Amino acid sequence: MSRIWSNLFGEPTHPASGAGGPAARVRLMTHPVASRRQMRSAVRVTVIGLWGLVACAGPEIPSQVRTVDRPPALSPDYVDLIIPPNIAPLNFHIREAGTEFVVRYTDAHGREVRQRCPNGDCRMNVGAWRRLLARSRGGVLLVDVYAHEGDLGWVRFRRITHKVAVDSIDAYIVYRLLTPNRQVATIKGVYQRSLEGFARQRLISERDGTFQCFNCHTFYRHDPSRFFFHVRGAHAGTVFINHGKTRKVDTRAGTMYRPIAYAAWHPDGRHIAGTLNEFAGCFPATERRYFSHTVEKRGDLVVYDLDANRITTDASVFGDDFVETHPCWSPDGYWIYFVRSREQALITHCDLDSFRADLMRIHCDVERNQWGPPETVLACAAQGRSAAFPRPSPDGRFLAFILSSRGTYPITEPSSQLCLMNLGTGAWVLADSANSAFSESYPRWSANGRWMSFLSNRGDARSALPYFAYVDRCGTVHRPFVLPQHDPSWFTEFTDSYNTVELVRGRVPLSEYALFRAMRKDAVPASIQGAPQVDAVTQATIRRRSERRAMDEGDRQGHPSGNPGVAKIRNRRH
Amino acid sequence: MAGRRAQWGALLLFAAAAWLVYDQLLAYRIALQYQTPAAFFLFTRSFLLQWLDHPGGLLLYVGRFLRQFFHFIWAGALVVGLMSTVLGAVLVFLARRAGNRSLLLPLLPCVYLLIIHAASTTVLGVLMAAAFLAACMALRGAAIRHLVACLILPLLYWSIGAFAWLFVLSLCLSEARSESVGWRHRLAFPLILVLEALLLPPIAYRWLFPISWHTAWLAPMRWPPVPLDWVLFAYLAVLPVWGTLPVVPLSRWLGAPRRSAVLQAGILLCATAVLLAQAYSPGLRIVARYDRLYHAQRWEAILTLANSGAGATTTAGVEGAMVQFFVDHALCRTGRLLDSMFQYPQPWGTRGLVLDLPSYADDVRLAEYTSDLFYTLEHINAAYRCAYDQCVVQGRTYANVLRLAQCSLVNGDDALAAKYVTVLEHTLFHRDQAQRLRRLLTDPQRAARELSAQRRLLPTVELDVGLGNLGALLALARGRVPNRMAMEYLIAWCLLDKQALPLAVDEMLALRRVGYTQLPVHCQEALLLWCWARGTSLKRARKLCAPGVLRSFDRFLRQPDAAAPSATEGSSAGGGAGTYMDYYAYSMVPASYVPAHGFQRLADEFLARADTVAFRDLLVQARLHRRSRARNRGHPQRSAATGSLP
Repeated sequence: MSRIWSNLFGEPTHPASGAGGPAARVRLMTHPVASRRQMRSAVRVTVIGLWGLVACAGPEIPSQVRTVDRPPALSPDYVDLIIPPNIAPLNFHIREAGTEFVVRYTDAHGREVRQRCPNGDCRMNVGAWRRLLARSRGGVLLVDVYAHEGDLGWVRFRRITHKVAVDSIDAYIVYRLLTPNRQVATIKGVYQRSLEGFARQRLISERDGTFQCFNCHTFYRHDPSRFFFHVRGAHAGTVFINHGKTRKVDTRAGTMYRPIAYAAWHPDGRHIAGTLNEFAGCFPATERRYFSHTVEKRGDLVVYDLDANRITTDASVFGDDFVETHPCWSPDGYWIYFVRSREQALITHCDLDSFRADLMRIHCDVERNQWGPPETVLACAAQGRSAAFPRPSPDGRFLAFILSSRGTYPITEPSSQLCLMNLGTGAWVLADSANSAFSESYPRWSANGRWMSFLSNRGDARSALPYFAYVDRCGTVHRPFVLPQHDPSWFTEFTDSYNTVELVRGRVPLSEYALFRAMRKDAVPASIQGAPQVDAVTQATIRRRSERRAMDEGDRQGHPSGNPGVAKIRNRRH
Repeated sequence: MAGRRAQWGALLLFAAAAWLVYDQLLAYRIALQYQTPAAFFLFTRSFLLQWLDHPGGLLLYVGRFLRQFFHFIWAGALVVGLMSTVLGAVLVFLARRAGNRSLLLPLLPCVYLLIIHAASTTVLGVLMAAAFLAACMALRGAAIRHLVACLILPLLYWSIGAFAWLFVLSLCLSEARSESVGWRHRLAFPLILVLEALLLPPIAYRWLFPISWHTAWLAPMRWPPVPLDWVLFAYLAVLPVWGTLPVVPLSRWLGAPRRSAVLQAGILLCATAVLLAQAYSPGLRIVARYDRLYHAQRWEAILTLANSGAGATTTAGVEGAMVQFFVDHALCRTGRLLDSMFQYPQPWGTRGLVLDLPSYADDVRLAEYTSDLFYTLEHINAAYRCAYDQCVVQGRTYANVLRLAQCSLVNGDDALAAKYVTVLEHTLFHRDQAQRLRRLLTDPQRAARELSAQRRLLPTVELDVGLGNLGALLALARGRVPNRMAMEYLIAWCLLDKQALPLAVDEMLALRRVGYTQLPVHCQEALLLWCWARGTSLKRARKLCAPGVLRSFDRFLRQPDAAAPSATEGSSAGGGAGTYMDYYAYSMVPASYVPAHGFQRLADEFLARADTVAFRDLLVQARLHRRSRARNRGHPQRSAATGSLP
């Protein structure tokens, strides 16, 4: 743009080129040939400017309108929201009868932008939208929708009032796209998408079958240049990216029966808490939808030291009595929050329903490799509910998690709902304004802790889409909105599913090819320390009997040395 | 002028012949190809965009656009004929430029492509490469020609992928042998063009597209090509320089005015006949005939066709399984499955009853029929699963998108159904189906009325859909509402499996619930066989059986063990002499496929439900299955399960 401008007015492209500045411009303007050229350019700019002004003025608002006291039916339902000041245009489709549609946006200073919506599709210009938001930051953005209903004339629906928050949301999301609910998942790729616009870039793809599966990309404190992800199947390993440097590690070492799956960075940026998971499930016949009812039938918690390339764990979280999964660190790095269910035999489909997990935490001193006893944060299994995906807010005041009626895989579970716990008081509430009758899962906080993203399949009960909700200082989660798309009709055709949506501060600075090369590297095996022996065939913990004896002993005596978590759960049950 | 007119006439004749061949003799290829994802096309921007991120994607897009016309056989034949004729016209032009006026040389590859490749990507790729080559060679002035060639090569590579190498090779050969430019030009241009061609795939691989190294060089060409394709590519590459090659005397000999017409026509006809004999598949043609009747729901016509012996020779391949499926389905629709199924060949056992083939690729390819079956039986989730898996693994087809929409609608998932209906609305020939579904979506009362019968029959017994076809049939047959078709299919499955005879006998008790007043013929035979095999008294069983069945059973018992009942060839391949005993004792069929521990898991489910009879039967089956798996280790998928009477 600056180049075009400089060409028009004779300014040098680069100010340091020596010919710039006012003097140079005067010199050029006085030259007869140059002045003629400048005149022509000026006229051109004026014409374009006038045309732009006319275009920006938009269509006329009809003077005689009938008012309807309800908001218009929009798809997506962008009505009365709290939105970030840096979000992409909330384009929508008006699902009302009408031959013509006009939308008027009014910012906090009373300036208007009017727009005609052919066929009810309202697509806002990104630049105009940004200006609207910038002027409305901390205030409100009003949206009036007018529809021309043929002989009935123009109709104005109740005004939509968006509150524009002062706090921005992270600029990008990184997510995985896959086809949902198939027995063998087909992963289309990992993408990054700007939340401030509609730009999307593929980061990882299967490259015509070179890779089969890649998952669980995890960023260090929303930093786009520091993250890791796993590769399964061919070229298996965990790929670490640190400011352009790549490293691939095989975390399936020693007694690790599986590589690390769910994982989270320690605040020191050196340690990673992860779980080893095995899944089982079924495709119900009687449910009125086709989906996979999945549980984690095996899971154990470990901590990986990035510098030492070493995995450590503790017998209290590594064994076949409990299934530990979904780990994450508290912001101070003192606790690992995770969920834990009792391991049990899977014989019939009813057994899947009995998998219910408690919300737990365990102290782990990563420097000294000292583990405390697991503590129950919320004993929900005894109440017939199951917790999943705990995630503390960056300020450490709240803990977002998912609560459902069964299982540890809430992505397909309609009863799963978003909850928020006040870590200071231990009180928790359902985030009612964010929940729906469908599945909610995978909550993530923005870097400033004011926004939360989560996945929900409320659109069609199958395809999970990212939703964003404002969380105020009191911990109230406000009404969420779905990730905006340039073409509103996109929502009517999209049948894939978003997965593992992570909020990051900026664009991941790596090309797809660089990640591809990193994925093809040979993985360096990690060493493991302190993990119980696991049988190679049955994958059962070999120390199981002695561990259990010790645990039962501790349980009987009420002594915390055995396994206080179990004792606590059992006490609560009694 | 006269020669040119004759050429045009010959090309028109060629087009007419091509249309006729594909409208009549090879119509089955068009019909079957229309059922594949290769014919699925949407008029949307997003559909176009998904083809643009790899070389040759545009070619695939155009191919799909053309193949959507396969909806009508005549239109498909027209597309195939026109493509070959246009290719013929371009090759004639190139041959004329090379100083060859014979029609034979350019039309020979067209005949090959027409018959072997029909409307495949190869034909389109060759056509595009030849068209670009002709356009380039039509330019006057070597410098312009060279410049244009260098400039369009990246575009050509992006549009037609590896077929651009044909363009490069032909043009380089042509320019290298051109006498209109100096030797430096002749040497420099091919070098530059080849260098550019060598650079394009690495650039595409490294910076432009998320593709593998292999794809960068070879997509969308089928790899490895058959040997005749190699010959074709070499032939096409040298066609523009044909006049300057040492084989020119042959060309002149062929092109001599006196003998040319008859000789060339004779050679072309011979080549056509040889290629037709090579490409024609009677098995697939029969399958297509059955398929047409199946989609038209002409069940009696299917049985008539089966009685005429059509398909009797195609018992071994996938075609045999499909014919068995069509016939069994027609029998079930006419209420005769359990009375006369063994009068028709059952070469694939349970795997032909509910298509479940040993090859996963075939299984997914034919999932549409399994989906149809479960949709008819009202197991909506199983129907959805087949269509969805096919959609994900192979790609969307018109049938699987329609099925997904229907299933979502029956399940009451209107939002999801609306998405699939929107997809169908963007097709050319399936908008009417979409409109029909859209009307149901917009009128919930009508939908409730029209779908109530289906919704009433949905399974009420929870069994994992992933446990295979037996689990799905059990879930249906044990439902609260009697489901006659499901019950028949379940018993037929058990009879065909042989090892599930106890389960079949136990399930027969429920036949009265679905409207049977007496045992069907094959059930009587199975009952007698079972009682006899267990050593229990046949008296009670005989009371339930018709005299004809008793006679055939006695006849069976009198036969020596080793000999087949009627010594027919068909009996060893599942074609019976009409009784279940013969099938059980003498026919060799592939073992049923049940997922690992499937029987055990099914047994556990019934145990949890306190259904001890089914639990016992399934446990027996689990044991037998384990034993037969151990016995046939190494060939678990295709092991022959011969009935072994205890």
